[in-house]
Amino acid sequence: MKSRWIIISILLLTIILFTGCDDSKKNIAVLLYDQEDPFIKGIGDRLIEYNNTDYNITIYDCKKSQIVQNEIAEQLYEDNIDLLIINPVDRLSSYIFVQKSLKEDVPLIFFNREPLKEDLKPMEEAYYVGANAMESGRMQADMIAEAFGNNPENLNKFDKNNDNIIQCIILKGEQGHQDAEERTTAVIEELENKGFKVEVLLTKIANWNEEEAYRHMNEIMGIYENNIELLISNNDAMAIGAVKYLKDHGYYGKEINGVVRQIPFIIVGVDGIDEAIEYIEKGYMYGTIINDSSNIAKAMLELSKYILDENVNNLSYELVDEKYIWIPYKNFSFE
Amino acid sequence: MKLIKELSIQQIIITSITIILAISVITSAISVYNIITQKTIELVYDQASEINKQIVLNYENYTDRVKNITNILQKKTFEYDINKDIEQLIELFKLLEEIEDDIVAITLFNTNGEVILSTNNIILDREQIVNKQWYQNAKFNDNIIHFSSPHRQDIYEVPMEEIISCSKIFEYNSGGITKRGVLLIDMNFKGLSSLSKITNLGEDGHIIIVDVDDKIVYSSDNYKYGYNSKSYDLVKETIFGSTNAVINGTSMAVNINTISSTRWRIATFQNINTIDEGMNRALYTVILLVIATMFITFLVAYFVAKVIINPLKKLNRAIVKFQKGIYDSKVEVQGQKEVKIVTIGFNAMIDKIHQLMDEVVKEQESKRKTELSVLQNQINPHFLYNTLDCIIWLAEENRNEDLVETVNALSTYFRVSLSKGKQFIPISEELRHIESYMLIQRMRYNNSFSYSIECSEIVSKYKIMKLILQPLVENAIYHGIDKDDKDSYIKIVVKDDDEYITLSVINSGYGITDRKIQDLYQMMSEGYDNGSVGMKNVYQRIKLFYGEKAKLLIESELDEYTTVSIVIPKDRLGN
Repeated sequence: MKSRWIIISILLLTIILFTGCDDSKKNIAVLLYDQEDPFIKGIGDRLIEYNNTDYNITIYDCKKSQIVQNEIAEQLYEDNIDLLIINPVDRLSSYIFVQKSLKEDVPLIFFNREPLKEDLKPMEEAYYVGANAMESGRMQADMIAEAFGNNPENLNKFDKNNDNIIQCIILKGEQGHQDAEERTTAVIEELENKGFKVEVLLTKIANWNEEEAYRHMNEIMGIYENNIELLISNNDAMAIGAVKYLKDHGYYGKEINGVVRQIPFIIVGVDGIDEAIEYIEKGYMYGTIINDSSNIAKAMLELSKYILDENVNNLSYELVDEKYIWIPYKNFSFE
Repeated sequence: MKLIKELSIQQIIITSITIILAISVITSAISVYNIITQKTIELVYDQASEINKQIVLNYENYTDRVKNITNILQKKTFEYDINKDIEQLIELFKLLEEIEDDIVAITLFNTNGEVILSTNNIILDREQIVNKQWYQNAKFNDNIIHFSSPHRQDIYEVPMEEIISCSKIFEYNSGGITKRGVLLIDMNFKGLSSLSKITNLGEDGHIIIVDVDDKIVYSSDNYKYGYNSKSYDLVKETIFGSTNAVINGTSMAVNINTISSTRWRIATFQNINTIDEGMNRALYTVILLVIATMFITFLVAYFVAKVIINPLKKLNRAIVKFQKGIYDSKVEVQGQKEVKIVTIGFNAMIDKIHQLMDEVVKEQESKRKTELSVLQNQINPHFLYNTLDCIIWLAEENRNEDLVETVNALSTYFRVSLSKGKQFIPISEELRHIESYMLIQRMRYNNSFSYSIECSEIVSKYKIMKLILQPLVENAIYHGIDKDDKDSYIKIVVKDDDEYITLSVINSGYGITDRKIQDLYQMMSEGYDNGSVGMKNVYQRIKLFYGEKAKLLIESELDEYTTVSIVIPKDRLGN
C-alpha cells in the first residue's frame, strides 16, 4: 500500500514539474538586417531589455544577406514561431514573408526598412514600425536653419564666404535607398522652403558607414576644403567618420572645458547614437535627429502584446491605416 | 525455455554466437547505413542549396549592375542641364550603354511620355509610351527600379525579343528646375538566361524565375516547366525556402530565393536521384557485408563449437557404451580443462567399477565355495554308511517298524538337504530335517537320548538358510551328551521377537568351560580350524548372508547343559 502511494505521488510530482516547465511563453524572433549597424543593434538590445520575461525573444543577425534572412525565416516558420519581427535586408523582397505568413498564420512586424504599401496590404496582421524618413530630413533642415541663425536673408558666421548661400556636402547613405533618398530630398527641400539658398557642392555615397565616410573626406577636403559650410549626413555613423577625419587632420581647435569652439563647419547627422551625442556635447558635431530606438523597441513590444495577447486591445501608439506606427524623431543639438 | 533444454551444447553455442553477432552486426550496419545516408542526404541538400545561392548571386550581380548604372546616371545627370548639355548627356548615356553588353538602349522620357534623350530611335509616340506597363510601374512606385519580365520591346525601329525593361523615376535639371521623368534601360535577357544554363542541376534539373505576381519570368523549358507544371505549382505553394519533390519521376531538391531589388524569385530544381542511387548502393553493400560476416561467423562458431564439443562427444559415446554393458570404454583425456576433469573422473570410475566387479566375483566365488562345502557336508559319506549299517542291523533284527521309520527319516533328511536346490527353506522344513537327523542318530545310539522340538506355527513359516542346525546338533550328540545318562536330551527351541529369530540347540551334558567358549568364539570369527568345523561353517554361512547382526551364541553350565543359539535378524530374511 505504502509503495503504491509513493509511486502515485512521484508521478503527480513529475506531471506538475513538467507542466510547470511547460513553455507557454510565446516565442518572438527578431531578424536584423545587419547586427553590425549600431543603430539596428541598439533596437535589438532594447527589445531584449524591455521584454521583462513576457516573451522568449531571440535576435538573429542576417549579415546583410537576404539569402541568410530567407533561411532563418524558413526555419522559424517551420518551428511555429509566434511572431516575426523583421528588419528586411531587401525591402522589395519582403512580400515573400507576407505571403508565407498568410499561409502559416504568423503575424509580422517590419521595422526600419519599409516594405511597399501594396506588399503589406494583403495581410491584416502585418505591421510596420519606423520613423518617417522625410520627417528626419525636415527636422535636419530645422536644425540647420537654427545653426545658421534662423534668418535666411542674413546668415551668421557659418556662411564663410558671406554669399548668403549655404555651400554643403552631402554624405548619402545609399543611392536609391528609401531613407537616404527621402532624407536627402527632404532636407534640401525644407531648407529651400524656409527660404534658404543651398548649393550642394558634392554628394558622396558612404553606405551608412563610418570608415567609408572617413575615406571620402579625403577627396572632399581635397577639393572643397575651405568652401564647405555645412556637412549633411544621412546618418550619424557617416557624420562621425567625417568628424574623425577632421579631428585627425587638425581642423578642430583645442577642447576648452571639454568643449571645442573652433570648428571648420556645421555637421549634422541622423540617428542619435551614443557616440554622436558625445561629439555633439563636445561641439564637434552640431546636432543629430534622434531616431528614437528605445521608442521603436517599446512600440514593437506593445504591438507584440497587442497581437499576441487576446486580452490586450489598446495601443498607446497611433496605428495609422491599421498598419503603421510612426515614431517621431527628436532633435538634439549643441548648446 | 523447454526449447533450450532440447538443444545440444553444440547447437546452443552456434545459435547463441550467431544470434549475438547477428544482432550486433545488423545493429551496427543499420546505424552506419543510417548515418551515411543521413550525411549524404544532408550533403546533397546543402549542395543544392549552395548552387541556388550561387545562381542568385550571379543574378544579383547582373541586376546590381543595372542599379549601379541607374544610380551613376542619376548622379551625373544632376551635374548637367538638359537644355544646355544634352549632347554630353547623350554621350554619357551612350557610354554606359556600351560598357554593359547586355544593355540595348537607355532612354529618358518626361512625364508625358515624350523622349528627352535616347541611345536609340524611339518610333512610338508618347501616347503609346505612356500606356506601357514599364512606364506606369515606374510612376506608380517612384523610388524603386522596376524590372519587367522578358518581353518583346517594340518601341525601337527594330523590335527586340526577350527584353527586360528596367524603369525608374529619374530626376534631371531643366533650366535650374528639377524635373522628373522616367528612365528606361532595356536589357537583353539572353545574358541572364545563359546564366541559367551554365549550372549543374543534374539531369532534368531546371530553373523557374517568377515575379511578385507569380508570373513566369523565365523557365528552363517553357513546355515542360510552364504554368501547368508541377514545378510551377510547387513554386507558388512554397513561396520561398527549401523543399523536395518528385518531378516526372525524378527526386528533386527545390530551393527558392529572392533576387534583390527585382522582386523576382528564382527556384532551382536539382536532381537528387544520386541520393537514392547512393543509398541503394550503400544498402546493397551493407547487406552483402552483413551476410558475409554472418557466414564467416557461423563457420567460426561451428568450428569453435566442434573443438569444444568433440571430446565431450567421445565421453558421451563412452558412457552410452558403458550403459550398454561394455565396461572397458576408457576415454582418451583431451579437450578443455573442464572436459579433461570429467574424463579423468570417468576413467577413474571405470577403474573403480572393474575393481568392484572383481570384488564381487571374489565374493561370489567364496560364496560358492562355502555353499559347495555345505553341500559336501550334507553328502557326508560317513553318516550315510553308518545309517545304512544301522538299517541293515535293524533289518537283521527284524525291527521292521524301526526300519521303516529310519529309512523314511533318511529319505526326509536327504530330500530336505536338497530342497530342490533352494538355499532358503521354511523353518518347518529345517525342523523336519533336524528331526529326521535326530531320529536316525537316536536309532543308532539306541535311544541313548531324547529329543524335542519347540516352535510356534507362526514362526515356522519364516524362511531361513537351510542346514544350519544339523552341524550344531551333530556337535551336541558327539561332544555334548553323556551317552550313559538315560536322561540326556536335545531340545530344539525356535523363538522370535521383533527383530530376531533365535534357533537354539540345548543339550544336556558335560557343558563347556567359559574358556572353551571363548576359544570357540575366537575360532569361529578368525576362521582357523580347530575341531568344530561344523560350528565355524554355520557361523560363516550365517554371517555371509545375514550380515553383522547374525550371531552364534554359546551358553553353558558345566555338567548341566549347553545351549548353542543361532540368532538371525528378521530384516534380512529375504522372504
